[in-house]
Amino acid sequence: MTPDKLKKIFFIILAGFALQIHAAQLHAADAEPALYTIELPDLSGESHSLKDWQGKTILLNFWASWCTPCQYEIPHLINYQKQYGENNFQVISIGLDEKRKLKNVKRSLGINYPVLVTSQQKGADLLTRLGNKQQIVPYTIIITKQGKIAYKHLGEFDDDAFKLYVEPLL
Amino acid sequence: MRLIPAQLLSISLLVITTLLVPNLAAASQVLVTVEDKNITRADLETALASSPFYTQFNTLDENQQAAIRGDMLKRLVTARLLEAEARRLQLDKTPAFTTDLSDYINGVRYQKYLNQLRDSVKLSNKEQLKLRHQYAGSADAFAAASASIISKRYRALYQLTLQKLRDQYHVQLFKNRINPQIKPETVLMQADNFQITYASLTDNTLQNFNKGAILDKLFRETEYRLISQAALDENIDLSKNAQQYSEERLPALLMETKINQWIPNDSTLQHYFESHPELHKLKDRWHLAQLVVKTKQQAEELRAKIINGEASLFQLAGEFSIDPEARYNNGDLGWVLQGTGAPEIEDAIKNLNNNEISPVIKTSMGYHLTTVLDKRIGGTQHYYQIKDKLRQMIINENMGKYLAELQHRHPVNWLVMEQDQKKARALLKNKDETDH
Repeated sequence: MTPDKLKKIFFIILAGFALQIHAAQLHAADAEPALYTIELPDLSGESHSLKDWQGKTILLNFWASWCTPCQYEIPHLINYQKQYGENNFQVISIGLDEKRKLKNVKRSLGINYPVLVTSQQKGADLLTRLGNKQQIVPYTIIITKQGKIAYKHLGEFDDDAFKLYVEPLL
Repeated sequence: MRLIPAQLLSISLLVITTLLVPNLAAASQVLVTVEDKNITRADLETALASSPFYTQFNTLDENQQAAIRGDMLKRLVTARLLEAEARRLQLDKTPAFTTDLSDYINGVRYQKYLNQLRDSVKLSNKEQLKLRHQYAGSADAFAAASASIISKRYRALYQLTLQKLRDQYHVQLFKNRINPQIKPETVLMQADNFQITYASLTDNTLQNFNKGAILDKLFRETEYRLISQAALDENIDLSKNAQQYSEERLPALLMETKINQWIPNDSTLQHYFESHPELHKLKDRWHLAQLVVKTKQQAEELRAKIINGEASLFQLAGEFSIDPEARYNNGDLGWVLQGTGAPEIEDAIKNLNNNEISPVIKTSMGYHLTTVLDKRIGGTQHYYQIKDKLRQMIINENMGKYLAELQHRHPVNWLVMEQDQKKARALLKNKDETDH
């Protein structure tokens, strides 16, 4: 067998592997993610999993300090937490950014719900796993009291979406 | 307490601890008065929120935010001072200002009418719900689909409104008067209270007569006048817009006047350049890295490690440098301009090749090891290369003196400084009591 032929075969095998890996990734992304296994530190370093809020309707919001639409929607999220916090409702945010910047935005805007922290890279992986393949923020997921994903929202979250998808769950 | 001008001007960075946290409950609190005008907390927060760096502002530490708030407050005070002076000089009575203001207000009135029209087009609840479900999960797709339907309905409503206004104001168009014999005073559109002449459509002479282009302009101008007239009849309150325009335009108008006085022509710039020989020379610049330690012995030991290849200057600076900033940046000092560093270091690095480690250099801070990462040798700067910079330098020189003069004429009362000092005194008192 000539070296050229060997090379060709090698590439065919490699391409086959790549396809298999890709198929496996797709399968993993399509599966319902184990939400309560997501575990991240908050701004004071204390580790949390979504299990901490099990039994509540959760609005899980992904954001970053450099993202202007994310900052626009934060006052709305603060308001939801204030208004519906007593109805077994909880806003949880995951910041894909430097802890110091997230802390400052929390103080500046008066965020009244937990801010969990992850790196941009890990956050991007998590977004993909949760159905946001473009890895865009802001991204919001509504989780029912039973731990099922009820709704996924790409882009700025608004009052109409809250009325339509969150209020019926409360 | 009133700050005398020199005091105000000496505060290059006004850090106001009272402003560390935006207190929304106290939005109407007056921070500074300039003559009879108040600058409130709400004014300051609005100015910050409308600045292009607002998203980044929220990510900064408290003291950095306080410094920016202080700086923004100084800008607002400067603008109010210039406005007060512009009014004293009656710039608000000049045609340059009144014509601009009236054009601006007409534009705003026209736009507000159209906005009201657009806002009256809404999707029904049923339609909204249908779209929500169709584009569930994507805010952008939902917004685009809604906008597309609204825009189609708006165009239809706009045409209907125009037709209604044409009837209401009894519009008559005289298209047959558009011919090569047309005169500036020829009336091309007549309505109840207003008309359009050929002269008001174009300042062009009849040299390039083009019937199609004139017709096009006539239709557009008719639409504009009809909407403007309808808006005028609705008595939309525009006093706030007029005030806002004056607050922004008058300071700018005064500045244009002053800059023309300070720099009447290019020879002023040329003269400034010639009388400042230090500006002709572009200084050398070095990109430096260094570590500083307390003893000569430690510096020598670290130097030996670097020379022997056991560690890099960056690693050692990150670990051992006594300068916290250098330690944080692993010794990278960035670009340093000739004449701004310690003279002992400048002497030592003059003959260093790139990436060569200097001998141990003693300064008042400690014992340094320095290396040059890159260098840019200066040269001669020509007048045309720095013309804009010269202009800015002259403005800055004159602006300080001018603002001092304005503060004598228009009293500035820094109420916020008073509150700040009270707060500082209370903090100190508390601290004293705790200490004892």
